[in-house]
Amino acid sequence: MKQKVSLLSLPLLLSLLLIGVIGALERGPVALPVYVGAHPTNEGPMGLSELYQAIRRNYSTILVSSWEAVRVEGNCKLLLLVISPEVPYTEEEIEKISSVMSRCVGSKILVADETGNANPLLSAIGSAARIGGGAQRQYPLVSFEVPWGSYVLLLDRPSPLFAHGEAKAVGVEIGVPSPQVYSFMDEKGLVIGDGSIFLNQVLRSEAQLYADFLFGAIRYLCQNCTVLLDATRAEPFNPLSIIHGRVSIEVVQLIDPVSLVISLLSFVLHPSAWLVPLGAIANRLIAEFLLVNPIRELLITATFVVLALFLASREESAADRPLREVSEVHWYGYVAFKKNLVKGGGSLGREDFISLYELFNYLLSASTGIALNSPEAPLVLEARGMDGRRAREYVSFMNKFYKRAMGKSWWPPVVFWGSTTRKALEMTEEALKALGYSIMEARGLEERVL
Amino acid sequence: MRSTRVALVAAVLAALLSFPLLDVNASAVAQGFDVTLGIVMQREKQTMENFAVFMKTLAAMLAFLTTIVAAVTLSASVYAFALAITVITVNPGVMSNPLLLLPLFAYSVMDVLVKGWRRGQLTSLGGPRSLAISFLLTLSLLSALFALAWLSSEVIWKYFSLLRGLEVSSPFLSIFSELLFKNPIGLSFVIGLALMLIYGLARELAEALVAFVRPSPKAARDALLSMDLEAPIKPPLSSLRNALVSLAVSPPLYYLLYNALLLLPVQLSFPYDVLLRFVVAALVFVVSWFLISRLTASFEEREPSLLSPIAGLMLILATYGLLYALALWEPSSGLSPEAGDDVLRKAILSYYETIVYMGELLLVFMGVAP
Amino acid sequence: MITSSTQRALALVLLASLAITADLFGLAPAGRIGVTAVLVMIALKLYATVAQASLESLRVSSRHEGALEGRPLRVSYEICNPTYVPLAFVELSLNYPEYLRLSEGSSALIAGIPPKGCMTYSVSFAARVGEHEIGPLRALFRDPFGIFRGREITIGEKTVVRVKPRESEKLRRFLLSLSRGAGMVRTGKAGEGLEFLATRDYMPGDDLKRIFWRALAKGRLAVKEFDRESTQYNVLLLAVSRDMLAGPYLQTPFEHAARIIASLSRYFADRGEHQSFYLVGSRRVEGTRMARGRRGYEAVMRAISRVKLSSMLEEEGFSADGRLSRALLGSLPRERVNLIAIATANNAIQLAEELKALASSSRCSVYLLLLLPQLYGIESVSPMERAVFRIKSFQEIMAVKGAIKEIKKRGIKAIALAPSDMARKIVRKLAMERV
Repeated sequence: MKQKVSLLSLPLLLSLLLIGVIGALERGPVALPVYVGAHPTNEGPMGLSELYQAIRRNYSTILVSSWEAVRVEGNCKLLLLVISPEVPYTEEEIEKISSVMSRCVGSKILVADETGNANPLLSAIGSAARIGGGAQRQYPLVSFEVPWGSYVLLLDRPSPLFAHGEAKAVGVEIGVPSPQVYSFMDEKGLVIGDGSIFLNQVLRSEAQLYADFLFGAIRYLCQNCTVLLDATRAEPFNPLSIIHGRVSIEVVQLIDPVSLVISLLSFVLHPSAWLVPLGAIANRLIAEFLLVNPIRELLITATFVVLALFLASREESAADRPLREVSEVHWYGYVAFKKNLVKGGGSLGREDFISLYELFNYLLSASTGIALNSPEAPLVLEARGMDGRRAREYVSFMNKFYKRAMGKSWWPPVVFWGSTTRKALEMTEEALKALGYSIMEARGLEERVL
Repeated sequence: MRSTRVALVAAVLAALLSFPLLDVNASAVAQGFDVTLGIVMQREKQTMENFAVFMKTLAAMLAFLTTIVAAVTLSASVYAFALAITVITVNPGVMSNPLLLLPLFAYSVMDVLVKGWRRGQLTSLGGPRSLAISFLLTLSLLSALFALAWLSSEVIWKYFSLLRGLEVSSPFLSIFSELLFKNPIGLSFVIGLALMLIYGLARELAEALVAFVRPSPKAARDALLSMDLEAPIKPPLSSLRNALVSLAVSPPLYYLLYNALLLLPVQLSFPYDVLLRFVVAALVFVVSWFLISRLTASFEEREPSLLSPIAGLMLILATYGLLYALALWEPSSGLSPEAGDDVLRKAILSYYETIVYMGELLLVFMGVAP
Repeated sequence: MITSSTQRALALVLLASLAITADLFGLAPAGRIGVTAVLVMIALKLYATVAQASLESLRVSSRHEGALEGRPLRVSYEICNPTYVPLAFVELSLNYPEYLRLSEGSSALIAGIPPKGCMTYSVSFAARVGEHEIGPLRALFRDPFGIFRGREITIGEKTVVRVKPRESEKLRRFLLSLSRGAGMVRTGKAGEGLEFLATRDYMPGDDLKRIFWRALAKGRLAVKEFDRESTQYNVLLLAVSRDMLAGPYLQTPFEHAARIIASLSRYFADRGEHQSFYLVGSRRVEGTRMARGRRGYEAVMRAISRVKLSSMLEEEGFSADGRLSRALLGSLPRERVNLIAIATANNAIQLAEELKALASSSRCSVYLLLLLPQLYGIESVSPMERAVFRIKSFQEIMAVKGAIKEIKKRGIKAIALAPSDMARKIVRKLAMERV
């Protein structure tokens, strides 16, 4: 595999990642809110997801999760949808909503509230209807006489309404001695004293009547308009409280499992969920370990080693060797020369004896015409000045071992060729001197032979 | 050929220099033996303490031997190891004794001199004069460098010390900062990182400066020749480019795959169908990214050329053409170009919608967006 | 990377991390020492980087003196640092052929070069014949602590040194004395000359100065005849081969041959004869122009000092391919020519084959001196070893004897020379062959 040259370095990516983690840490943990009540993202029975999806299909819809973030264009038409607000509006929010609404001409509202939390909004917008807050009756049967039709609907636990000016009562209880008004309508829009008819459980039920009423209302109030669905009014629910067991089982049943899992996941993935406890554990462990004697030493050693590796990583170091020097060759062919030299004589052998014999034999016959194996050889040597006894000894010694070396005789039976040749060398030198040669002196052979 | 005389002088000097550290460790070993003897005689001490004394004695012996090795081989690194063993286990006080730090520098100098000094060196130089002059000059230069380093270290170390007192208001970050700045292990990491950065920066600066002041054609040629000419260069941000190409290729594939899945008899309700879209979109994106990366890499490995952009373009055209061709024929209405246009539009819209939605959710997850 | 760190850098790194760790864990207040160690490392890195740049701008000039065989050949470099950066330490190493021997100084050393200053580096070689390339220098920078080292670079240029052979004064004198007695250059024809040839009866017209008075005393009128001196032409030829370099320093067959050639050349020059020199190898024939007297001598010496020993080591040996004889036949004068060739025994037969045609012509007498490379160095061992050596190499010597016989069959006068054969032997043998 070829090495690739990457121009985007890993350290850069890592430091970017680190900066990201620190940034995320600084913002603190996130837990995606899970809603149990009337919120457009709640898939549970008490949620508004069905409503939201249905509206979205037909109208341009803005899901308002923060009024700060709402941007509407001029020349607009709005329908503000407020369903069962769980949190009262603050004054700033009212102001913000009013400014948004006032920017568009002919904006309408559809408020379905049994809590009375929407009252400040109603008064700010200029609607005449007010919500009593607090249910007086359960399951009242209410007749709605509205421009898009007549409906008789069973409400859940509605709050009675009262008008604070000009408003037409369109939803009146039936079948009871003193009927309450549960819905008003004026030029600002429709107000109903019950949000439960918009919930998922109702819209998912077989009773198509509620949906007809609802979508009729929207169709009536909103022609070519943008629907603002207020999602700021639901109380979020911390998913961790389930883990801690602080939530009753009834409430848990109302939570949509998918959003719960996603919410938990988002919490767990955030570095503050694991890095911070990890850091705390590490801090505590280190502090404790530093008090224990052998572990303390080990920690110090480990830190020392790691720090050293860390600092050393910056440079790749190579072994420093002195500069190469010329290695002089003072004798070419020295090996070949040495091959002809035997140190200590230990490896002189039979062949060497034969060579020596032949060398002397050659020199003798060349200078006297007598061969070494001839009986006259000792006499010739003696005549040349060698001691007579030594000459005879020498000639017989050489001839005896020459025969032995050539395999012509088997006596003596055991021969150490090394020492024999060595002895022969010394004796030969003496004999050669008589002939005027030398094999041991620097000059004395080649000059004369050639 | 090395000079034996110089090596001999160096050996004697090294032995003398190693003496203080040898002394510290020898006395520690002697003390350890004393204590051990006492324990043996009295037979009444806690085992843990005995163990500690035993380990300390062993460490001192090890440090003693290492010091000898350092002096013999003239190795400053080995001496540093001996010093480390002594400081950590035997006697931390040696760190403040300059006599004990001297060999760290002296051994290095001696090592350079002994290895570089050859027999006949002074003859070749015509005497020791020129060597002495340049040695003195360098010595003064080095003294200046050392002094500068010592003075600057004051500021830098003060800065590191201040890090220890760092307070962070964010509760989450404070644990993090405590881990990094308050405990010695974390702080050593931070200091190491900082020193490494300073070192790297200084080095790059020096090299750039030298190259600028004295441009050397030889050095440039060497630098160029030392590069592996066969190594393919990965263009910067090529993964981003591949991601963009795969984003362009993905919609038709996504559309085909998703619609094929919808043909299955299982009907999915709201969150699950969105999840399915996410999974399909992500899968298509990742797979096409991977394939395109491999494809362009195989092009670029040969030669950076126009081939790879052309191949990417061809791929995009091919996928869209395929989808368009598939959509042209509708069983009910026959061949209609409008159907093709429509399907293409739908494919592109639905894919990017899903991707944007995913991105939004991811941001929400990370706590960046509300 | 301009400089790289060495194994010694670990010491500083260890010191730094030890001091910082010791401080952080409250062992000793040594943090500053640790930071200082890192800063020292940075400072040294900066110094090394800058110094490496100034190392690359060093100015080097070289010169050499003494180019006669056996005398010291002194090569010196002046290295100047034109920058303001002191360079300590620079390790220098001299490139020179492996077959040269340093007699003084060091082939590598460690030195400092002061800023705006110079240093001199000089070495002496025991000069041997031939052409040698000395230099350039290789230089390596290390900071004084050896923590960083630069790249190895070469500084300075190659110096070409040509060393002439030393002629043997003894041989020259001997040749001169011999030429009077033995008549090395006798033509054998009566004529004007200095050397006495014979006496003959007086004939009218003979110069009275030439009357042989001693014969007249015996009652015979005779005149002395003198050998007619001719202008002699000589060719010296050296067949180089790898085995010419066998043997101890300054005692190789090549140097032996070079000395012989130098001496002969000097002798020819002194006699005012013509001479030229041929260098032949497996793939080359290089010759000088025939020149007379001092000029001829100088040309021969120049040619022999240009022999590259390194190329000689690559020689495979001479082979008879006709190139040499063509070159010789093309350049030799119509007069009588003495050709003295020197070769190792291994190349002798091939050379003889090549010179055969030349030897057979009447105007050319060819002498071949055979050198026996295996014998060079025999003087440096003990007598016993010498004896062993001789019996082991006796067969080779005998083979040479056979070769000489072979060569003689080709009409070439061949002599084998032992390493110690110099003056007398050569001349005597040459003279014997010539008579």
